[in-house]
Amino acid sequence: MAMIEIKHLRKEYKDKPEPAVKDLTLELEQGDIFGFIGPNGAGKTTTIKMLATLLIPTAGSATVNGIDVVKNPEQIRSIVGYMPDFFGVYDDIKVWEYLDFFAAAYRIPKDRRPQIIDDVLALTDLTVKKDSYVEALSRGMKQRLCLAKTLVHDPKVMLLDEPASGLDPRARIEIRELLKELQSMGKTIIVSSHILPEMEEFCNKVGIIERGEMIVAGDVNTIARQVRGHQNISIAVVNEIERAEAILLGMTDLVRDVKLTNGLRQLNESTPEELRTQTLQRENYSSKGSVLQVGYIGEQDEEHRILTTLVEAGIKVRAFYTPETDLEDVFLRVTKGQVA
Amino acid sequence: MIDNPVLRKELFMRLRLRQSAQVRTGILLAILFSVGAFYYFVIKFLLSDTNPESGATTWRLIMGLQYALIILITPAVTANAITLEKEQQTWDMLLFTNLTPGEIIFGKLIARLAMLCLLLVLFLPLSLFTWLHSAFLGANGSDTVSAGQFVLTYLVLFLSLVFFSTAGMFLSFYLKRTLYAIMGAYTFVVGGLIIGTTLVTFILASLFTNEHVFEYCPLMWINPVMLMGQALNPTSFPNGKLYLIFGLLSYVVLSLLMLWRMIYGFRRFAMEA
Repeated sequence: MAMIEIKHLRKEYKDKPEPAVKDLTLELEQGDIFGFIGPNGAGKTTTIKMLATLLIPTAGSATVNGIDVVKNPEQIRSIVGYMPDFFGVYDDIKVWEYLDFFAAAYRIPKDRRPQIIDDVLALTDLTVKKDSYVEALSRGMKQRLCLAKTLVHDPKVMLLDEPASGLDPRARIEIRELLKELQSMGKTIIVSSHILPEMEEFCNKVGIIERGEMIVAGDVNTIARQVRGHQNISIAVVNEIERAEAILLGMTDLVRDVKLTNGLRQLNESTPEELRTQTLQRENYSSKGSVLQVGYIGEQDEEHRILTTLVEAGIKVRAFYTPETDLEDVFLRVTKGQVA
Repeated sequence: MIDNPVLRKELFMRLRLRQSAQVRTGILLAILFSVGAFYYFVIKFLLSDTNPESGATTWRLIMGLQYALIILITPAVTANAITLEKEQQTWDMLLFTNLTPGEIIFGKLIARLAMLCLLLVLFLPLSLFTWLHSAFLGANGSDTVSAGQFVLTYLVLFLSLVFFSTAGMFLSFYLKRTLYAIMGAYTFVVGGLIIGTTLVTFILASLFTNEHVFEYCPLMWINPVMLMGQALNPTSFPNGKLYLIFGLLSYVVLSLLMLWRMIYGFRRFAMEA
């Protein structure tokens, strides 16, 4: 059974002509970390709020662990942790009191609360701030405190709406590390963010939403292939880079294009002036070995043919790998910057 | 009820003074001095005054003063109950807990009522003293305050406090900004209940050229000044007690209706707001 199952979800607001979310369908398994990507106003927060029982869907259905979010909101709140995109903290309250309040609000027995508070503080690296007042914490610490609050009732599913927004690089790294730790704990997480390279690092699935519609969703590499129409393969060669390039371009059933990395453009796209410069650079690269980026259009189990052909042709291949998908590139390709 | 996390948090946060020990001592001394001075002058006046009706008059003044303070303070104290959560962006997180609407609404209401009741507690000894002075030292046939009148007046104070607090909470629930909620609460209590009812009744009295309209117009039964006037001086109108009971009943019914609306419409409104 899917941990999160969304079917044809739709949300309309009275004061807006366009629906905020339309016909959104998604299925996530336990342990999935789903990166929810989209421009501002695309419908990410609305979708997350519907899953968090804070908004009633206009149509469609959504279940978490088999529980309907509209029919059983109380049960959903017991198994889901929600961190809003914008949140405040209470003044005149200490960190441990803040967590104790939320633990009590989730019906955690009084005698179990101190241990749980210590645990979530340790997990979020806030133990030293246990007796500090919450308003005295830095933004990054408040963000971590909110995550700690989200964890007090040990939810199976976490809905994190822009958990790293507005944070400095260090705080972002801390949040990222924390999410990785939660991932290792087996939590199913939906996280929305604008920081795409980070999403790529820890999300096993992503979905790109625009104008309330899920444009693509699924495994990052599959999406990239779907969007670009090809899969990138990087081949580091030690010698005869031009011959290697020619061989690859000859495999028209498998290779769409070949690019030299390090800023060199594809041959057929270059001007005569650029060609002269590139020739000099190629000579330079050829002496050290360089990387060819292949636009692969064949089936996944046919990839080995490229390597075999190169090796049989006497090309010394130093490395043959699929580079990390550039999520930013995928995002820019599929979105138009329109909001719902 | 005491296990209600909202109530505990609200009380705890309101009672917490984070200022330095010197500032805290200063605040405490200032309150004690003001209240002590008030107590001193009233008691000194009553002990030295030979007029048998002074006790009753002073008692009425003290009760009237408390009522005026309740009217002035209650809207400001209660109208921020929920708008503050919305403004400081903690409302969604509070909604996303297993707390029931009743726990949230009553937790906030009772915490504020408790703070406002401190005002009544502060004046209670002086009120008791002046009442005892009136009851025991007043000469036969002079103006005295009966035990029933004493209890009834406190009932008016308390039920008015609950009604005004609930109205403040109600506005805080439906409005987004504390400023609007406070303005709305003052408009309702002062502008609507006190000035509005009087004005409408005055217009009706002019139209019908009947001076008894003030006595019979149901609008005046819910006028706080009229209610307190009836409690302090039950013989001012022929059917004063009846109007008083009707007025208090209206306060109770309206308070219950507002609470019902907030609690039963809670999730739907909170979700769509």
